[in-house]
Amino acid sequence: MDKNIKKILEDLYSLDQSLKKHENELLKLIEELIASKPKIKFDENFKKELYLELLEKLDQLENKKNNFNFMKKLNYAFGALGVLLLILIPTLLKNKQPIANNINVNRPDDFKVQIAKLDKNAFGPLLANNIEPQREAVAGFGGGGGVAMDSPKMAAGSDMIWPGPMAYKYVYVGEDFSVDGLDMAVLKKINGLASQSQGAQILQNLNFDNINLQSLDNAKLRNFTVYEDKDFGYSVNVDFYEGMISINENWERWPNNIELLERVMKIDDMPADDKLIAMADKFLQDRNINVSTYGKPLVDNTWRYNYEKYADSGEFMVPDIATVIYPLLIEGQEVYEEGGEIQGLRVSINLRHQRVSGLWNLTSQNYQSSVYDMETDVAKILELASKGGAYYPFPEDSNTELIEVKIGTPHIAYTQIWSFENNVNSQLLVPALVFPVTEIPEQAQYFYKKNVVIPLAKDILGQRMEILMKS
Amino acid sequence: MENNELALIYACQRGEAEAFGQVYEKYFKKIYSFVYYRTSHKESTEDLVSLIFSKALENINKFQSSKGSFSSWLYKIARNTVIDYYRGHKNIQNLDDIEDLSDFSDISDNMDRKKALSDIQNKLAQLSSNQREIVIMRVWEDLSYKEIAEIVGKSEANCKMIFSRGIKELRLSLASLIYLVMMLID
Repeated sequence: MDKNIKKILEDLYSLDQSLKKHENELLKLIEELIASKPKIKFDENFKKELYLELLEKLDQLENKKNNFNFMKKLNYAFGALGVLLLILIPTLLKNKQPIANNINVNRPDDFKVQIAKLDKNAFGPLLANNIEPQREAVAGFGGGGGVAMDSPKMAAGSDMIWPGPMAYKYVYVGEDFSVDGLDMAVLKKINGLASQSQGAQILQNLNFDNINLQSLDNAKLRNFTVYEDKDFGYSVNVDFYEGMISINENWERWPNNIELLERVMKIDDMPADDKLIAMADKFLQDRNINVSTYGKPLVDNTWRYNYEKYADSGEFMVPDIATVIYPLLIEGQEVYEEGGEIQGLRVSINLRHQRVSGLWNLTSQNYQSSVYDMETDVAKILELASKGGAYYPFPEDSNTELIEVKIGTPHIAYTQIWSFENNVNSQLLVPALVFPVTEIPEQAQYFYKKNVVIPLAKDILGQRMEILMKS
Repeated sequence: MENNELALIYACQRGEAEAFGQVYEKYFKKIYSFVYYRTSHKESTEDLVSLIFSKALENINKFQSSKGSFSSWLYKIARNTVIDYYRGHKNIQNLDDIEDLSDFSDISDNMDRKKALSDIQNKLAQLSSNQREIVIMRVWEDLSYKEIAEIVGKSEANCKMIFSRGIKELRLSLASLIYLVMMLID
């Protein structure tokens, strides 16, 4: 028996031993499946041409890197430090050193919102090489959305069903509004925790036979992971460089009960929101995680919309993970992704085990701020909003089904925009208007967008209007 | 992730063309196949593959090995690009525009055999999109559950379960087909 087929069968049996009695049938089925794989004739010319195009692109990207040599050295330094940490962490665990007592993971101020004011337009033009086209289509899966792949199209001869092209037109049905006199600046996030150097200095004092850590110049601690070696233990990753702490299940020590994993989740398995929030709150309190810079927690119930719509078809299952979001607040304003999702600390709850399974996006909140001109022309803002906001729209033609989605009165918030310049990714928080989706028509299958977000900085909005006019 | 590959990716992040060439060589056919299985259209596949590698190149500095393998990262870009394509593309409505994937020309002249393989593809098409996607990733693309989980954003256990259900459905569906054929012969 082929090694791969054997592995596939073993995996199937690990979930359901009773399948073993159908081994011959399964074997034949898997073999047929493999045999039915389409045969692809690769075009070598295309491959070569694309490679040359990409090399040219690489060259162009390189030319933009003013500080290339500096970054190169820095990367080597971090690479070396990474190797050292691989050696170091097992040693620490072996010696059962109380790690948290040795290193101050963060200073008290690291996770408080701190903003340093700079001059006007201090970050340069905000024109973006940072617009990520159509991320909305990507993020929806599991969270109640995802359009195209759920439109049942499949590479399978005559049974192929292709999703019809759909475009959404966002129709404003809210009240009149104005953005005159908006007093908000653009914020640029400063990554990293203050104790990077301090952490490295402590580690440098450890003695190794084969290497002298003290020989490193300007050493900084990039990240480390500690885990609980016990049932239902957690793994904690501290990323000093990004300024982020995350907690995950230590997978090896979470029971992998087949019956439990196989059981189809039912709507009754989903606890009420207040119970989920209480579980998340307790998890944070037990670990002394300060959430004072975050707003009132809410449960991500996006999945319910599609569940209610498609539950009868059996196509949509109740998720086995629930997420509680603690919205990030910067000077009292919420922060949204460009796709319309609210940003914040996310606590996941594994419903099969009825336990918190992880925490993500607990980040340092150090920013610089700079005033930029904001767009006040409501007509322009609504025009961009009618196209869904921040993304490059796809051109429409006569085949496109245009679906109208209603959006209501906006509120002010920040939106997160990424900028890649000089080999460094920067996160900008730009004042924005957030238009809530108030009504989704029935034919908008697997629609999940909750908000249309329009960045107000003139540079960005102008650039996007330009793209819109060209499309 | 293999240390060699990680070293290559770091080198790509530093802008080293040779390293990029090696990564491209390693993944070109995989990504091309991944897209082709989902579009079954040569020109669209080429457009998307170009886009996928361009995006990967532009965003290579965002890749972090601590968040998963490079392979999963690249496949995720590929998957998202294909999803975007279906959301926005206008001209793929006519089935005649699409090349038939059921190319069994290399399988002698045995019509029964061709029919059997065609049946399999048809049954595959009847699985739920989740099941179909994971079955294809596992069987055609030979991806591990860990990789699949990272690409589709589900847990490894969940992917295994979805795969298992898909295979069970295929088995039952094919068994019914055989039974039906037997009944007709009788």
